[in-house]
Order: sequence, then C-alpha cells, then structure tokens
Amino acid sequence: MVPDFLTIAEAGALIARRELSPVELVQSRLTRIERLDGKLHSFIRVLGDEALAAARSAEAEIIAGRSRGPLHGIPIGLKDIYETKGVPTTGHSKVMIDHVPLRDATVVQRFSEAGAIVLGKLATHEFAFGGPSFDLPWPPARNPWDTTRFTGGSSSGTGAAVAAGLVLGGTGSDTGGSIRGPAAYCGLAGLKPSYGRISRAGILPLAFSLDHAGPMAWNAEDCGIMLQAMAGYDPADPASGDHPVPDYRASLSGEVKGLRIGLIRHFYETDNPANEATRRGIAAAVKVFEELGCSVRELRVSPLADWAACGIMIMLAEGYAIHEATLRERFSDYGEAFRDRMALAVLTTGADYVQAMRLRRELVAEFATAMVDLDLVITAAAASEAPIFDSVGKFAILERPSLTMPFNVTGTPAMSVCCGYTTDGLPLAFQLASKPFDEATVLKAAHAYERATPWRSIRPRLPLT
Amino acid sequence: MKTQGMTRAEVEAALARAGLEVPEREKPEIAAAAHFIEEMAARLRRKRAMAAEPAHIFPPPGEPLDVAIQANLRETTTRVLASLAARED
Repeated sequence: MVPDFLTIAEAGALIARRELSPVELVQSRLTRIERLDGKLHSFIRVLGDEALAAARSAEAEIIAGRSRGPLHGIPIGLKDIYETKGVPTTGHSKVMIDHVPLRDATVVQRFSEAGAIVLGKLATHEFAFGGPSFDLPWPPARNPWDTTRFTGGSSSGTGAAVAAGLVLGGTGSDTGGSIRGPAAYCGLAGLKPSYGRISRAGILPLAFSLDHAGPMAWNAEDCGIMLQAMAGYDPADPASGDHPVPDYRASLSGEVKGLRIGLIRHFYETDNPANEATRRGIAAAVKVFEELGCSVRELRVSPLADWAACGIMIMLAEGYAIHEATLRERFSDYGEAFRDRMALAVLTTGADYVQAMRLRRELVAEFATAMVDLDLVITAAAASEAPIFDSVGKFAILERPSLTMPFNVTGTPAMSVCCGYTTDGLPLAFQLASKPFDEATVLKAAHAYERATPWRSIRPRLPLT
Repeated sequence: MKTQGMTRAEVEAALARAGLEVPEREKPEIAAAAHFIEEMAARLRRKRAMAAEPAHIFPPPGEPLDVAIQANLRETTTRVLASLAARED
C-alpha cells in the first residue's frame, strides 16, 4: 500500500532500496487523480498510459542497476506552458488548444533524462497571466485545503496537485510571483531561482525579461532535488546563465549558524499590509532563525509600489508584444481576465517601458548594495491565507502591490516557505531571497526552518467534501 | 501621485486604435482600471541623469556577457548612489 503522501526524497529512497516500485507509485497517483481531481481540476490532461509505460521502463532500469538518481521513477506534473513533444501544450487557452509541439522544452528533456515520470499537464492561469477564470476550456484549479478558496496563480494546477499528493512535485513559472503565490496558498515550497538558472526554452513566454521557471514541491529538499535536474546552461535560451550548478542537496546541512538575514518588514506592514496571522507567522519564523544562530536585522528598500510598477509595466509591454496580433484577431477567444488585463497595455507607451527599465537598473543596484553584508532577506510571500474565489477580482494584481514582484525585477532567487496555518487550517507563508545564483543558501535556510518547525508534517485533509 | 486622468472615451479610443474588439460590457471595466496604469507610469518617472541607462543591455559582439554585466552593475551602483545623495540635498 503506497502512502497517500510521500516526499520526493522519501519515495526516491524507497525506490532506491527497492521497497517501492515506480509502477506502484505511479499507479497509486493515477488512482488518486481519478478519485480527487474531479473536484480539484488540477490536471487538464492526464497521461496515464504514457506514465505507466515510463514507470515500467524506470523499474526495469533500476532493477538492472542503472539508477539515474533521486528523481528516477518519481511522478511529477508539468504546468501546461511547458512544451511536450506530441502532447498538446495549450497555456490553458482556447487560443492554443490545438498546439502540439514538435519537441520537448529543455526542462522536460532534463526531467526525462533524470528518469522522472510525467503524469500529465497541469492547469494554469491563461498563458500564466489571466485568472482565475471560469470562461476557459478547462475550469480553474481549486485549493485542496478548502475548495472554495483560490490556489493562487498562475501555477495553480501545480499548487493544487502537489498539495493533494497527486504528484510529488511539479513545475511552475514565475513572472511576478506565479510559483511563490500558489506555493504560499497551497502550503508548499516553491522556488523561483535566479533569472538564467533554468532554461526557458520551450516554455510559453509571458514576459521575456521577467519569466523564471522553477520547482514546486512539498519541502525545500524536494525543490533542491528538482532544481538539480532543471538547472544549467542552455544555449537555446538567450538568457541562460553559464554558471556552475552546485550540489543542492549537499547544501542542506541543517547548519545555518552565522547567516545574516535582512527583514523587509515595511513590505508587509505598511506597503501591502498583511493580516495578523501572516505577521505572527513571520515574527515566529524570525525567532526560529535567531534560535538557529542567524542574525536578523531590519532592512529598508524602496517602497513595494516602486517594484510593482516597474515589474507590471515591463510585464504588460512584453506580454502585449507577444499576444498583440492574436488579440487583434481573436480577442474574444481569450478569457476575460487575460484579455482585459492585457488590454491595459495599449494605454502604455514605449517611454513607459524604457522608464521601467531604467528604474529596474536602479532597483537591481539598490538590492545588490543592500545585500553586500547580508546572505538572505525575509519578507512576506502573500498578505494573507488563500482568499475565497469570489473575492479575487479581474484586476486584483493591480489593486495592491505584489509582495513577490521585487525578486522578479532583480532576478534573484526567492522561495515561498510555509510558516504555519490559520485557525481554519489554511497555510501561511513567508519568503526568503538571496543573491544572484545563490539558490543553495535559500534552500539551506528553508530546509533548516522546516526541520525546526512542525509544519511539514501537516497535510490537507482529503478526500474532499 | 498626480496623474492625467484618462477619460472613458480616451481609453476606448486607445483600444480601438490598437484594433482590439472589446465587448461593450468590458469597456467601462477596462476604463475604470486605467488609473492603475497612470499611477504606475508616474511612479516610474523620477529625476535622473540624462544618460541613466535602462536595465536591458546588448553587449558588443564578442564581448563576454559576464564582463559586460559586471561592468554595468558597478557603474550603475556608483551612479545610483550618487543620485540618491543628490536627491537628499
């Protein structure tokens, strides 16, 4: 009997010891998808036969002594903006409903080489931007902790599927917070690595200079395992960074004594005020880090609204450039949330875009200067627990400045880490960020925090009612 | 943050000029959100040196990208710090 919930590390260890068969594991997840996803809507396409065939191959290789590492035989899901050879990749949109890629995205190839098993394509906000939407070919994903609540977006299906244990990990993309938002609302670990760390080749773009691919999983260790497979230079991506990829799992020593952390309190106390539960969660997390031997001091940077204005202007300009022709020809084939948000781009000018890019250079320099004597920063990942669906308006991303956008503007690593639950049992989260290409320190600190707190032992209560 | 305050007619004209066939029901909602764009656009603008460069760079062919990025970052950091001091005066 395969447990309902397993981490990638746990399952990988069981498979390596031949105490768990990849075929059994994949079959157990397919059964779980069958039982639960009718309410969660996290998948828009399940690849059951293909997954079972891949699991049988993995099993044969492992039995023959040819293990490919900790992802071999592990079931994962792909946000449906990751191109998959011969399998439709739609961006959750009518506009691309017939799009069948001729090749896999680089990251999909790398997962295949690592032996991971793709169970299917996961729901997203339309083209990683417009949602939650009820006027698309597939319904929006629902939060396993409470199906009346928003998953966060845009990696909504990944958030729901991982939290519900339908897959052990999944891919997201993050242009303004689309990994960290769903990770926060669904109680996961979600890592947006450095810009250039993971190839974007073969991933449907939203905004070229802000798009990041990254892993979403139950905990930091699993994110590290996934990042190991995903990271690395790719000449097919002009923004790919040719930097050495460290052994992320080896960095999870549990030893964080001496790390210097800046607390950006004004982001969530005045700029975008978080609710009391979130503030308490962050305050408690700061104490945990201090008890672990870290030093924490307050850090002030430019107001959150500056970072949000910079990022959203860039996102609208770059996104509109991608969709301009199709919006002209097929406006009503897009969902209302996507098309009306993106239509605001026609109110911007070329000068706005350049001014945003000038501000970006200043903000990047400001953050680099602030980090000279720091290893990490901590701030909120979301202003509250997951809201109910009906309260999320069409222009919600503009109403309050995003807590996650600053690290898209800087392109530096940032991670959502669960820091407890409300009295109603909904996840809360904070965010850790570090210097360029220093994902290892983020993962190390998140892992140490997870080990020092009980939150990773609490899973959503399923089956759903 | 002072903005120009686009009218609904101006927003609709911009949508039409862009060739977007926006359903009638959605036009006033887009117009009502236009102030967000104006506020953000105003926030991007501040006192800067004429030569203050944007973040996107295009290194000359043959120039190692890292060298170009690092040089730009150092130069920008110096310039931004100088401009911050000037604003405080």
